[in-house]
Amino acid sequence: MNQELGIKLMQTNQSDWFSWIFFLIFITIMQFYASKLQAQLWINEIRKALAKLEEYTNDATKKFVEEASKYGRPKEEVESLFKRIKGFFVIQPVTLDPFGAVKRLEHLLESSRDHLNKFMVEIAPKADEWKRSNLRDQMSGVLALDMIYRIVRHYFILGRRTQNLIYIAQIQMLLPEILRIAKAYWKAGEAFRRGIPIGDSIGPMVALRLMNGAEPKEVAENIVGAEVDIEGRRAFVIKAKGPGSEVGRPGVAIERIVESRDGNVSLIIMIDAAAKLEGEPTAEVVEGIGAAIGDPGPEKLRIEEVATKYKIPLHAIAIKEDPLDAITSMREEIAKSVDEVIERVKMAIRSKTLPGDFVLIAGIGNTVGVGNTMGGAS
Amino acid sequence: MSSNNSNKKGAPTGFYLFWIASMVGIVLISVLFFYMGFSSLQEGNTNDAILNIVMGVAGMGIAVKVAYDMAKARLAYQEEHQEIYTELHCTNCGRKMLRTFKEGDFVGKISTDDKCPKCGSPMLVVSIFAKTPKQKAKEKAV
Repeated sequence: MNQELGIKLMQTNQSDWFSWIFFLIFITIMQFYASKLQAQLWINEIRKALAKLEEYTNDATKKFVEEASKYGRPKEEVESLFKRIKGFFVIQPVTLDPFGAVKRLEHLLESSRDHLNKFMVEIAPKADEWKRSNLRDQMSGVLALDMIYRIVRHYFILGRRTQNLIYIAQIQMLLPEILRIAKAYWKAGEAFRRGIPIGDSIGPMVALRLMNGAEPKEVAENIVGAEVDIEGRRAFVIKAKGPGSEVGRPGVAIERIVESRDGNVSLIIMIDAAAKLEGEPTAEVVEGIGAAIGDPGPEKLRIEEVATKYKIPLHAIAIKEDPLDAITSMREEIAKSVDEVIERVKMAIRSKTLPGDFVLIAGIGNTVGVGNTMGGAS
Repeated sequence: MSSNNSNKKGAPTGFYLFWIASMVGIVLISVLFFYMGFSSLQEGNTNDAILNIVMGVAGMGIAVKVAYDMAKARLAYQEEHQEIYTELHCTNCGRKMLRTFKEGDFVGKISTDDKCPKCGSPMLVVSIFAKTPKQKAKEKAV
């Protein structure tokens, strides 16, 4: 009996020793390899995301090539032309000497727009102006997706080669947001292809309703406007020229109208989609002061300068939406906010101007899927 | 996005088979642990019984998590499918109509293809927007 108990105890002790040795070896290995293991796990996550990004890019490219090849060139030619524009970039102007930086940026943006427009004529020669602008912005989405894919791939290869946790971690931590943005660009292609209004089109949609069927005229490059009576005031409403994908030059238009009236404008109201913060409801209508426009700078500068020159109040009405909703098909709640925005415009006019005053109203944003007049000839 | 494009594909069959097979496997293993646990309990081996029952409970927990993930992934697939609608108003009597978006529609267009069901006048496109199946289901419930 005692002998049996002794053997049992020896066995138990032996087993405990093995456990301890195994545990110590495990801890020692983990000391050296934990970071490598973590890096490997993150690299795998990035690899999966990269495969998804490649899928989005290839699918968007395929759809663009299919669509563009309907307008005058065979698929193979469109493909080879598209390869030429892949990786297209605009170099930001020097800001080390800030004098004239906005003017230089404006010139670069104009050149870039011209370049893309000429390229669209080359790639889809039989497309009309409306279709060409839709194709151009569909292609811009593909180029953005391609750029995202290239950046993620760069960090992935660099991280894998160097096994540097910093490279790998910074891209791994941003992956959910990167994928969300990429998905939005992928979906945006479909909206531009079919000419469906996007979230950003809410400004032009409100402007179109305010025009109330009045015949518009072109007041600046790709900007149309019409004069209507709102609450007993003379209101000149402007928007980008639709229904193709255009944002136009609203800054130039506002500057031109104000200067043509020698500053005799009582109020400028700008309506635009604005990025909502997480937790804020989609399509919330908010008001503020300033130039409500999300351009890189030149248009906003023109508006602010002309408003300051003649001391014209700038009233901003923003429709809150997720930045990704702004580039994909317009959600129902955003479309339904038009009536509320119109009511806010009327309230601002009533409270800030007198009957007979001249008011300038600008519906800012991409006018894809939004025409130039309610029920008239577009 | 719309009814006639590739985005509208549902979750692939392989996707469901993988999730269901994983769940069934985990549930079977958990049941086995429960059986072993209760058998050990009847035999009076409390230590083994506790260990097996804990393993069984953990297995069931994992199965519930797998089912939850599957439902979540399915909802994500549904969320991707948006349908685009065009809202039209009669130019004469103002009657409202909603139909699926057709290529060539834009806000402000007078649609010659659509006639008012009440007075036969042409219809004006007043809005175009996207709806997800989730939104539609919510509206139906209301």
